Amino acid sequence: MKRFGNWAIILATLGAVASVGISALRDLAEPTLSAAPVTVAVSEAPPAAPSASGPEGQAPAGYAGSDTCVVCHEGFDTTINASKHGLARNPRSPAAAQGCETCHGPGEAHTQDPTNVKPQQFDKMSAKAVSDTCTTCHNRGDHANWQGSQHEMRNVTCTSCHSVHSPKSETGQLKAANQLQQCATCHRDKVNKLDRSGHMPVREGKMECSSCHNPHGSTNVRLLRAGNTINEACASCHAEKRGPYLFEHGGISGESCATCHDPHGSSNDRMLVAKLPFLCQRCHNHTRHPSTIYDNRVTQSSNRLYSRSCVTCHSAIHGSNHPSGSTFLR
Amino acid sequence: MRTRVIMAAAWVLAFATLAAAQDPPTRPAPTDPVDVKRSALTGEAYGRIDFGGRFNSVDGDEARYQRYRDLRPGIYATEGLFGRRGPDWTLEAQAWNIGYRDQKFDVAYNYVGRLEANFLYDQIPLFFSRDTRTLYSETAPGVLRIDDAIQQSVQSGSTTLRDFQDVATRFDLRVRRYVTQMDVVFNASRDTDLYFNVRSVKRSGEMPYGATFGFSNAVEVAAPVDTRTSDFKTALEWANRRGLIRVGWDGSWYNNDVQTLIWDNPLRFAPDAAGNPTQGRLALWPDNTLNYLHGQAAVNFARSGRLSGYVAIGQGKSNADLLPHTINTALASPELSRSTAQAEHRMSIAQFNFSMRPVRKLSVVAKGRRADVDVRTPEFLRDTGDVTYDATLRTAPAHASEYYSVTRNTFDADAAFEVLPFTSLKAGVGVYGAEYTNRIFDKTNENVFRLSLDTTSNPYVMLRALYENRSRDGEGFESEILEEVGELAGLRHFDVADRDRQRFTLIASFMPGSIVGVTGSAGVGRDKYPNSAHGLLNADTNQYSVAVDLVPNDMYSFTASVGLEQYTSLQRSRNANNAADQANPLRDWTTDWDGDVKFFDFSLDVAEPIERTHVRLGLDWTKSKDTYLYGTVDGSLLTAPEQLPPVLNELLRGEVDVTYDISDHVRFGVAYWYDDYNVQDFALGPTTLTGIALPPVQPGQGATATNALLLGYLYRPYTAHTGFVRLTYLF
Repeated sequence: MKRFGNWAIILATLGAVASVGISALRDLAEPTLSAAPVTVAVSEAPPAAPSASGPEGQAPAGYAGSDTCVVCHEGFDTTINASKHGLARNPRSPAAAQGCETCHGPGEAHTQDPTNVKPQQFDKMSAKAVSDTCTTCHNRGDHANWQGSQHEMRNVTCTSCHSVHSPKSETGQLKAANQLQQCATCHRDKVNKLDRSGHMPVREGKMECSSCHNPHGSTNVRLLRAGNTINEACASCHAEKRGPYLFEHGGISGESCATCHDPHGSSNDRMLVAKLPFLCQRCHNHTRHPSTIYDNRVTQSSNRLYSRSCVTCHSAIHGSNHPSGSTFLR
Repeated sequence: MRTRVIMAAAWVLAFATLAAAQDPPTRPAPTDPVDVKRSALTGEAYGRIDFGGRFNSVDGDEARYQRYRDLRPGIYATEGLFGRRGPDWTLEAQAWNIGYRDQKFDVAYNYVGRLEANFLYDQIPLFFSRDTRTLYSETAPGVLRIDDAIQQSVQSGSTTLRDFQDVATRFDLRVRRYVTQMDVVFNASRDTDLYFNVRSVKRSGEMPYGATFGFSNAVEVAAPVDTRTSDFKTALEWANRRGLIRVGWDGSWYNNDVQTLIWDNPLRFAPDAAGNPTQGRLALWPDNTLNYLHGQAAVNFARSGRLSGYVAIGQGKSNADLLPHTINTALASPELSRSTAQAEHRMSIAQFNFSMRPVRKLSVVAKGRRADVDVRTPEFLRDTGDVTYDATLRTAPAHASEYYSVTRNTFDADAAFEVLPFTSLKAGVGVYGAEYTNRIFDKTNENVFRLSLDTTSNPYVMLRALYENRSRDGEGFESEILEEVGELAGLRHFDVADRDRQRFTLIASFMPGSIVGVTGSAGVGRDKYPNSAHGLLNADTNQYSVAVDLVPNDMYSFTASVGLEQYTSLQRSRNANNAADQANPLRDWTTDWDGDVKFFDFSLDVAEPIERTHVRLGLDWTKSKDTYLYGTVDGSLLTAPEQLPPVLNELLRGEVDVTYDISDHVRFGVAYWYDDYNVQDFALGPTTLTGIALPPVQPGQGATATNALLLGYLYRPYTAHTGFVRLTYLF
């Protein structure tokens, strides 16, 4: 029955998406634009698809052309041209369409009345309007799940983290010098944990926040980049821990590594959320040794307190393939 | 008071709204994204190389200082970059710390509009210890032996392991990952992409591992690590403004060349009449595979609407040969009910995501997800018994294997309303359910309510506030699962136990002008487990921080932050070895964890205090203190506990970096890093772990008294000074 239930839900999901999709995709071809509609004043509508141009060598009606923009906005084309946005040979790039006006909207009216008519100014637009503009093109790959993602729903938008014209990072066009600084803007508590004795190699530059998370949305939980569950995300690097095993540990198998580990760092060995044996004693109070106080009298005499503590003996704690490994001793 | 707070918040938002209607204080001028002037001109090459000499002096735990990096003194070259671009292509090659254990190379090629390819080679070292010592030597992969003479001497009682500490071999305990990865994206058409990702990670070295023969004979060895994980991913994606369709396959193969660990019993050379083992054998990580087929479809429609669905079905398998129950020939190893693991998980995930803006200021999102992990491993029967620690044969039927399938269903619905320009108020509910096999609850149900207020994109104010309330209840409690393993009846495993959770976070940033920004954040979390008599009873967190950014002019840039984090939890247990004791609350005891972390950091950049010179100063300090306090009840039958000392961790890192531009292409730099780590840890510190054989023989103990042979992997402080003299060449 359970299997039937899973498949029913999968098929229902596919069916629902497919039925809406079929109707919506009847008009798959991109609309052919002889000219996009002119927007005036500060518009919150994303510019129309910039796939068409006017007569050869001319901007379509309503557009002024990038050459006109840089007459006043000197230097703003420099970083664009050095970035992927400026790769005119890429038909998906703004440079291949209307240049500046691909993102900022038609600017002819602005050139005629620069004071009163403004093109799209991203620092004056709502978060949603900014997102709408950027996702006109950034709608695939890593960005495919932006809409409805945790960040989008908290009013975060593309320009919260990225700067197209004034990036400070070497990659990703971030407003901060690197991902750590950028993410710390809001997630300072997580970034601080990287300074604990147990941490992943982020502060050493061997990992980044985006090694595990996709801040643009993901099909996994918690914006995790890899896998479909927390465990699968962790096991994408720690594949030895993923099993399946002959004997599995309840609460680990199919559950969350974060029950015991803090992936952002901790003061405990192996990034555990609490020190051993106390962490294990949160779940194991049974009649044998774990229900004992290991106090200062036994610090030098009990291997249940010092060194690896519980996992000195229960070394296969993530799961065991040994026939006598039911309690993870082998 | 509350009214005043609300009024104040309203004033702030109102001010921000009005202010935002004006021009922002300054519009940032476009800047070059990187130090290197990446060329905007066709055919022009650009690049950088940073090379020079590195010097260091480390007093203390050098391994922890170089935990994930290689800072050995010597000539070095790093941050190399070579780039070139043509009208149809771009190429960038980068390299870091060339020739060292943490070297990394990256090459990216983009045939514009057609193909993007990225090659990565990255080494990630993990340096556990420089002072590790062991009596073991590896005679074959996975076989660790001790000199027979030592075993014989210890078994005879004439010596103890502690007598041989000085002859133990000192070695570096380290493991390293070698990551090789290739990503290719073919732009098949304007809307269609084909993705390939191949990744191979070799991991080799040694890591500390527990390998024991019982409570009184714990052994820590350097377990050999020689594994490779090979991943292959491919996907076909069609996407444009109308929607998206994506199908793909992810495959992963994990191979371990050392799946069995055999090691000598340090206390015993020859079998004795009791059948105590002379060797132990355990199963290290088995080969496994993981495969997923997945598909995603999304359609966009009016009012910024998007409906997307994602399905994935996967299978994880491991079918390694099973070892016999024991290597101990003195025991009659029970028969195996099968010869291979036949372990299998089947996973299925289905989810949808619907988002829409029915009116301009209102956004709604609904999400549903069902994730199922179905363990298909046949029950492993042990009707003829098993062997504990390679030492004790149990001929009575032992527990068969139990598996933990889980199905999670989640549904979230959120609505966000733009109450003011740049400000959205969001309310949401969630209903989470999970179904388990072989857990103490058959099901858990959790109801979630959340409310958030977010002001973003405003040049003067950023405000983020979130309140979340969660209530989780278990259903179908199965007391026999606890009874079967002798657990206390009042214990509830905290990951499925009834739980009331409340979270509040607040982040407020004020940028009154372009030169200054102040950010304050606070977070409060409360977890209570109201129906747990034993186990974790509550866990609370408090976090506060203040950060200041100051850029008074083009010359100075200053940032600083200070903060405090507090963590507490209370857990209860009962010292009980029989049914009568289990029912006696006077045998209860508690562990009260009280942890706090203080941190402070600042950085100061000074541009051209002297012409063509740049100075950077940085400081980062973190100090944590964790106290685990035992408690007993009034009238307790337990001996009053002698409290453990607190665990202290303190890290101070300072940095000075001065550069001088000799010319437009050549920069001279000197840098100095100061690292100071202090740690006091009752479980892993040198005060407790006074040698690799523990405990030291105490008066009244026998000559063979020992319960552990360790590696000497300790938590020790270090102080390090690192200097760099370098030239950076830009072209």
